Amino acid sequence: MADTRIVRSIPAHAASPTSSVARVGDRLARLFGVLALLAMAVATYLALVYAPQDAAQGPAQRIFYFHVPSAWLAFLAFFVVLVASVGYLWKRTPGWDAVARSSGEIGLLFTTLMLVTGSIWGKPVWGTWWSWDPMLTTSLILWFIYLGYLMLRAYAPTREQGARYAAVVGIIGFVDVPIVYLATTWWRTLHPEKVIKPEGAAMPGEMLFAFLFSLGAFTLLYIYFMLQRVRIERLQYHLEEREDELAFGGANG
Amino acid sequence: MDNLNYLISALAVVAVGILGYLFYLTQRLRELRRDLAALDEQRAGAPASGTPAVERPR
Repeated sequence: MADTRIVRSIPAHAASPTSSVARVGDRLARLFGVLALLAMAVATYLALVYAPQDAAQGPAQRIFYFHVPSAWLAFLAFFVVLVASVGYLWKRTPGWDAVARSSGEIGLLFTTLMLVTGSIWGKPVWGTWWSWDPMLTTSLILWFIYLGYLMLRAYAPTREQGARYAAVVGIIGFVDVPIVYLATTWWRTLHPEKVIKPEGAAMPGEMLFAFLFSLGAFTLLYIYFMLQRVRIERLQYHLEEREDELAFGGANG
Repeated sequence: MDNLNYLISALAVVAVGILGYLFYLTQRLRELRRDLAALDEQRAGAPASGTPAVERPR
């Protein structure tokens, strides 16, 4: 039988599916779902129609409006993994673990999108799908770190061990995020430098607006995915709890 | 510079990734709700001996 000690210890995130907390969570998820859908539709319009075409790169430059927000979302998700992992090691409550697990999964999805869209953008601009450039290589390492993070959970002998080991990887693995972010500053790379710097943005106003809107839309999407993913963790907790009740009830009866 | 096909490919990848994950989350939620409801039904109707109360199809 699955090890359920972790979910039984302190059910901090495990409001009953019919409780008022759960109902508020469901309503919030629905609200963010609608907001994210609308924002993504507007962001797509701004990226494809509103923003002016880049004279040098042509239509392929518009990949920027999805590639950079994917990278931002991945970094945000891994930062949440870091915070939740520290929280889990400190408090040992399943709620922190649920947040870390959910955010890690979403972060891996958006790192994948970042790598694939970057590769597609690189072909017409650099003439190659891939280059072992510091920015790209450290991004690929980031992908492997969080793939390992999720595999560690899947293959750990018990759920509690998986949560503990993953929390350590979630903290150490985050070291790669600032390395990826600063790679264009530290090394000479094929990848362009950051477009928004303290001294201002290196792009026209319409492009900047479309880009910032896309960042906001992706952030809403992250919140919606997180709410849904944590709901899954909560329901999983209740399912395991009830399965245990039935199993123990049957054994004792 | 005509490289529209690269833009379309990148958009398709993003759409498949986001919609695919959304589909996975929705399916998983539905499965868990169905399993929970089945267990609740079983628990509500289970006799003290622990015999499953869910009616089996004949």
